[in-house]
Amino acid sequence: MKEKILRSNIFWIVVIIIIWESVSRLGIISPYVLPPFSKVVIQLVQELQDGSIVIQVINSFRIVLLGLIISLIISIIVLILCDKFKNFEYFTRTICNILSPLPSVAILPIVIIWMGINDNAMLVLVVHSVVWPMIINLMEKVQSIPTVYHELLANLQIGSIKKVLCVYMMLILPGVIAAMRIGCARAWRSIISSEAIFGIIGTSGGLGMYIYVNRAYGNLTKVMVGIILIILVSVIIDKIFVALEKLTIKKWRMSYERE
Amino acid sequence: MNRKSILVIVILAVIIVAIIASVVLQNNKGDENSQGVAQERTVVINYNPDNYASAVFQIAKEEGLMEKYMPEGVKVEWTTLSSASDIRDAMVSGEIDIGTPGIMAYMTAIDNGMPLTLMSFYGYATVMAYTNQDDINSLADFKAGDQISISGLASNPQAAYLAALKEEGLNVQEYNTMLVKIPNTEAISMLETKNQIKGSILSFSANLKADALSDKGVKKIRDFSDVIEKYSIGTALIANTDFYNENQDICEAVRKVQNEVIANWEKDMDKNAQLLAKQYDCDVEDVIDLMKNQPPTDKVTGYNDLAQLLYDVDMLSKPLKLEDLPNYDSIPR
Repeated sequence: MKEKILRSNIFWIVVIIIIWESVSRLGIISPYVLPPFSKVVIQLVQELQDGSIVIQVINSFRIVLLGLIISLIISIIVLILCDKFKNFEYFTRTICNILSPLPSVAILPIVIIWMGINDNAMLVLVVHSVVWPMIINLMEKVQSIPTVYHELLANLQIGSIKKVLCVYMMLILPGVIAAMRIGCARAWRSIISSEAIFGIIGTSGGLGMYIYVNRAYGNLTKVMVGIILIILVSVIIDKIFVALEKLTIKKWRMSYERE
Repeated sequence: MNRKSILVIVILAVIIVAIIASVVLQNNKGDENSQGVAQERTVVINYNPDNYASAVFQIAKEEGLMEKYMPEGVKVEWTTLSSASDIRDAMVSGEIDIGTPGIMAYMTAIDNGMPLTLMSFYGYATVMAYTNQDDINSLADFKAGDQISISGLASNPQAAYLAALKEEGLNVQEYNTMLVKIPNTEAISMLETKNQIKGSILSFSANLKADALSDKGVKKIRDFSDVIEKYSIGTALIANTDFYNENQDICEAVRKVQNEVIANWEKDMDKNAQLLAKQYDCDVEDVIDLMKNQPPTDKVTGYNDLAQLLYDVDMLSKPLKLEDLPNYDSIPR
């Protein structure tokens, strides 16, 4: 079955590449608007050989990873506080419902003024885009834990910190990994768009900046290289999460949902 | 190969043929339409209402000069994109026929093979450098790690900054890395609050707002007018190449409009200054000063110098020469 899906994926990717190359080479879509796939691949190889684009990928990835870790830590602290104080849970839900739909790009001008143009500002934007949905997601997962577990924990009189870290987090691990997976996608979107708007010139910057700079200089081939790299990195990250699921949930049979 | 795969390939082939056929048919239909109603044509012209370097179009639009010179049956539509790269992209995609992006955006575009044609120069940019630091009095005083704001890449302020660095014998590559892209409004407020940025490269009329902050320690450290003229930094009158080749009469009319506004620049200064001051939300006297000091011109003088500079900092893959442009003979210089 897996092989069949893989073959199908490869087949459709090849079809897309053939159509892409053909429409560009035949002039159906102007090559200035859609550079031929082969040209993009050559450029990609050159950029990888040059090495500077690898640094830009690492720059973006570093902030995404840091943002995810910070968001997860904040979410766990919030879960602990929610477990300890019921009123704090209502407050958190209200704040999350207000801030979760707010795109990080919308708060960009305020962040620039408050934090300046640096990695910290990017980090704030990434955390903003990840943390609110992550908290909501984890809170819902905790609520969906069967009552028997809650009753048992209450009888054992386990403290909130221990309860959240040692019991809840294990029970809701599939939810945590799912939240991280969704959060990662949101973080990528956020960082690419904010980098493009920050548009730091020449100094360290990420893939968003790479795309923005090359778009400004009219180099659409390099813009396509940036887009392809974002796709590749996203696919790799997704595969990492899948592998993480295999290594934990499936291997240890950790999900109570399977019981 | 099984029957299913053959079926998928056949469906794909049909889709590809259908796409090609529809494009060909659409092109033929377009040709028929243009032959059938040859009199009805539309020219889409972009001007930046906030940019003094596009003042000629602003005046021409207000006075209805386009309609005066256009061949019969040509309808003029105006758009107001402001970013040079936005204008360039819209021109390449055919949404805009004629526009006045910055000359640096044009150079980077043709370096990448984009189908744009330079018709003439259009207007000099007005660019100044400001700082909020007591110990900075010139560009040379900025140190590695300092951040200098700029409103956009491939813009006139960036071109002026790079040219000034070259003229002052500073390391152009190193200083270019100090630039950060921040919209003018935020940049001015960051200058005022001494937050993060050490300097800002501003164009007219944002520079007037920075001038007004002298009591808050914001000071002008460089007027780029010397390099602006030497390197022809400003806007250029650009047409989509297909449009240019197929509508020479319309392009000629646009050039005539430009010539008339330039010819009447001194005579109509007071009237036009009032119009532009309203547009830029500043004092008429400020605009009159500018109009006297930097009148528009259609002559490209420093094209090769700017191209060489951009090539030296790796922004162009080859040093473009004005004389290499296919319509070189028709470009005023």
